[in-house]
Amino acid sequence: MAKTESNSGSLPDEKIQISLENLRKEFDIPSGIEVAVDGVDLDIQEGDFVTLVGPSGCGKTTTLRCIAGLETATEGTLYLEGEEAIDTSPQDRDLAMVFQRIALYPHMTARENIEYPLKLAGMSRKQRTERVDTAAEIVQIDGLLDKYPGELSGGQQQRIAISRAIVREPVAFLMDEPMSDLDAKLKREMRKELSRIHKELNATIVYVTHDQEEAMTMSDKIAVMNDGQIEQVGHPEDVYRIPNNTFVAQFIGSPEINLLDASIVDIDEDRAVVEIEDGPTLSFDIGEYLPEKASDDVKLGFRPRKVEAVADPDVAGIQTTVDLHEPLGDEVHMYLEGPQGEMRTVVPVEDEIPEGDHATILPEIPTLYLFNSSTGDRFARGHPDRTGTADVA
Amino acid sequence: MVFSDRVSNRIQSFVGGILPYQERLQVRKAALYFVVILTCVVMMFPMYWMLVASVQPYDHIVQTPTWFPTQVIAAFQIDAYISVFADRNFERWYLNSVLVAIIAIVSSVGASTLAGYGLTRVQFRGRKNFARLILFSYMFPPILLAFPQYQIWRRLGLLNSYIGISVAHIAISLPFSMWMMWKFFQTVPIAYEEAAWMNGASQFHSFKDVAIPMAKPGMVAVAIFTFAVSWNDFTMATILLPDSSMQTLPPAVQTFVQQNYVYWGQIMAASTLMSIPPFLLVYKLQESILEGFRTGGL
Amino acid sequence: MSTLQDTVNNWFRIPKKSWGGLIETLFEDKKALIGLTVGPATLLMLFASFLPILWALNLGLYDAGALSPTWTWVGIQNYVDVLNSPAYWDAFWRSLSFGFGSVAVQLVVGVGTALMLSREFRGVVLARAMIFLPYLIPTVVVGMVFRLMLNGNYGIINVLLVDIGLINQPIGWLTSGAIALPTLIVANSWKFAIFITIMVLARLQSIPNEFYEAATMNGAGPIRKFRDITLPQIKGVILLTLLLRGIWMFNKFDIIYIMTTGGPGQSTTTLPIYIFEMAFLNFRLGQAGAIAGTLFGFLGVGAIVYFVGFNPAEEVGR
Repeated sequence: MAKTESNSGSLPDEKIQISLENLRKEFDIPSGIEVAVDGVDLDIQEGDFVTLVGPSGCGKTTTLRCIAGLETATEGTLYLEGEEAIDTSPQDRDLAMVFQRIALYPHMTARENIEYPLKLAGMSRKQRTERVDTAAEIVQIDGLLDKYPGELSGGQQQRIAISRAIVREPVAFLMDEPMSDLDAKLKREMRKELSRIHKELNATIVYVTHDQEEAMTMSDKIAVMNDGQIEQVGHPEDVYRIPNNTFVAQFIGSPEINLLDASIVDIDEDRAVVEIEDGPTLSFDIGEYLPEKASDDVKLGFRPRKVEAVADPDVAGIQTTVDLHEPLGDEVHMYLEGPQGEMRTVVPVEDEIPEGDHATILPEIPTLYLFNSSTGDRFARGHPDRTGTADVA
Repeated sequence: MVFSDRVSNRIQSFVGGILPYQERLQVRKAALYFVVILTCVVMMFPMYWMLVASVQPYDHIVQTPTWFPTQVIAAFQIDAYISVFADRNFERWYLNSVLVAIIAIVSSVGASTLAGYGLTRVQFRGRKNFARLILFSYMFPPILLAFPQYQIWRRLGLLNSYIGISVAHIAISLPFSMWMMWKFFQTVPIAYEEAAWMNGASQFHSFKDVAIPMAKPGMVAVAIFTFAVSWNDFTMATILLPDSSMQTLPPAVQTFVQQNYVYWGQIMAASTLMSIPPFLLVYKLQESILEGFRTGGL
Repeated sequence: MSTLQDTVNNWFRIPKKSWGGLIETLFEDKKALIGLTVGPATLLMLFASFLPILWALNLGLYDAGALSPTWTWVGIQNYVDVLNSPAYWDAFWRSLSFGFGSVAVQLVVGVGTALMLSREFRGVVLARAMIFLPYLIPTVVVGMVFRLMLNGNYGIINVLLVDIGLINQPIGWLTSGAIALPTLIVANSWKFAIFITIMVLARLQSIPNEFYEAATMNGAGPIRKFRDITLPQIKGVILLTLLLRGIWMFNKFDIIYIMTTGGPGQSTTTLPIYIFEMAFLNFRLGQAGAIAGTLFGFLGVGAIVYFVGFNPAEEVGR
């Protein structure tokens, strides 16, 4: 499938700290060989917060563990600060790791847990205490240093794990779904904390999660992974606004993007005319056209928030019935029954249409996407400078 | 502590200097396999020998011991197994062992399950002391009990009886069984029984229909443990079963040893046959054992 | 309710309920429930365990022999005699060496094997199955097989050692006084080390992998990882085993009796063997009772250490 496409816009001479080249990892399982990571290339700049995001089993955790050295890559190589590191032991890579299941030693106090790596490095007590106190301050747990992990809450334990990583002043931080065991409120707090720590330390962070919301809110760059490969790398907004294929488009963004089967009536560099199956024919100006990826059978995609929904059945557009409301304060998520099944929109609460009523949907132009039906690749999108919705032919 | 750190760091960097990390991992793996195979061989050898000696003619055992598999197969014979049945009362002893084990198992499982249930469901003062009493009695060794049991049993006519020896075995197996079932019932949430009560079941019915089925793994662990105690027991059987026809297997095998002649072949044949039931039982029920050990904690 | 049942009920004057109903009623009553559930086990223990102990302790206070039908009260005289006899103390020290020597060997072998089996490698399941087997072999069999293997003339151990060239003459493992007891310790440990392996392995498997990985990322090598992670987790199991298994091995009778019956001479006569000889060969029951009494005393000390050190009753108290 698609190789990495970096639309990150980073400065080319910023230092690259971690670099993966054609990384491949295979596992022996009873029924044969499982390819967990299938040719991954990735460059991570100094100070970047990069998130590997994707569904379970996509290879993101395995990739992270390869960077850490806890797994040995079957093929490919890895550079840390310019030097080849594939043969270095994990102990020597100067990377700090924060685990999902916190891994604080129950028989040591918080302070002893945090200073453990420094003790291993042979640092003097005075130096250790200094560093631990600084790290604890950054993470805001200075009062808890003499307690045992069993006496602390999940959030506090996670902070201690993070300060254990900070204390080493490593080249980069590796985090494997550190928040998945925390409750929703705690997660949101920790996200803010983590962003703050990132800025304060200007740290390089490689973060793994399956939660796309986490990925979007904290990262400088996200890499969307599927089935062992990177589907797209870039700034979160870029990945959201300009997804490279249907997988990325569906994985990023909540509620999920609407994808309708359609066929091309006519298309050129400026304009596209698309007939939705069992629906109207839309025409709109396009901003980018990649004819080499095009096809006649397409999927038309548009985000739930970028539509106009009116109750009037006589207006031209996609005809739907409102199935279900999810009121969320100032906005309402509406689930619609459209010509091809379920569709989703999000409207301000003033514009909501009652359940059971008819709703006519028209997508806005800048956020319309055309995806190749068989390969899933995007080959066209709506012109970013147009306002309003697509025309109905 | 710091000194040993420096030493191990020295060693680490020394070894690290010689080999790259990947190869160090491989060397470690190879060393592990070597140790594993060595351990397996050493552990298995006595059992291998038991089997070998049971199928070799007497001279091969006594004059020129052959241990190499090809030589063993060449001289293969099952005479020892035949004589064990023909010349001795082997079936009777096997039967005795099995019956005694069954009686001990049924009693232990029954008594300990009831006790475990009662102890967790009913509050009473002195629970901790009762627990201590159980654990203390777990420490009583067979010899300490068998010696007075002999005299008491003799006065009661319980020597040379199935009941007598079963009760002796129960004395050894019941404490740990009670402890296991007590701890096990603690992990059975009372919510299940409460649900049954809400549905109209009486305490007795909730015990019978809810608690007992949930306690099955614990009961299986107790059964296996009691079987092991009973099948294995030599001390009490030797003392409490003087009559050879009532003996269980362990003391009976001793009688194969005479003044001038040790019937090694028959001893090994009997040993092999005696080892089969424990194997079978364990391999059929290994998961329940691990469960029992985990909750039992001891 | 047929008339026949009525008649029978009237006969025995049982209230008009079925037996099931009777049990049901009893279960409802909290006091009766306790009696019904804990009762059978308690009664069994009283009869099978506590009665004999009390009998033995009582016996120690009399001069009794199997040959003389009457008992004569001698108070603590038996105890005095026993505690003054060198044979007793020799047996005591032998029990101590056998007991704690066995446990030491079993701990080293058992823990080492557990560590080995806790790793992941091809065939680990098979290796575990094979290594668990010795624990399943009845102790009698262990004794007999080792007796054969260690035989001074035709034992396979001697044959192999001579063939390899490590020794010139076969060694009388069980027939020479100096090495008989250590040999017994090794034979005993072959089976019982595996018990420790099982216990420790269960504990090891509950240590999350992340503990080790976090240590690796922090720079720890294998020795450090063992010291800082593994050891604290298994310390509890090891100490408990040391105490309980130590006591058990101190009191072991069967394997010693089977392999050497206390010989050669008296070199493997531990306290349990000594009691057996005193009671069943010398017929001096009173003395045997006193020795049993001292044994019980040691048990008491062990129990106190156990309860104070580990507070096991805490696990079930509420």
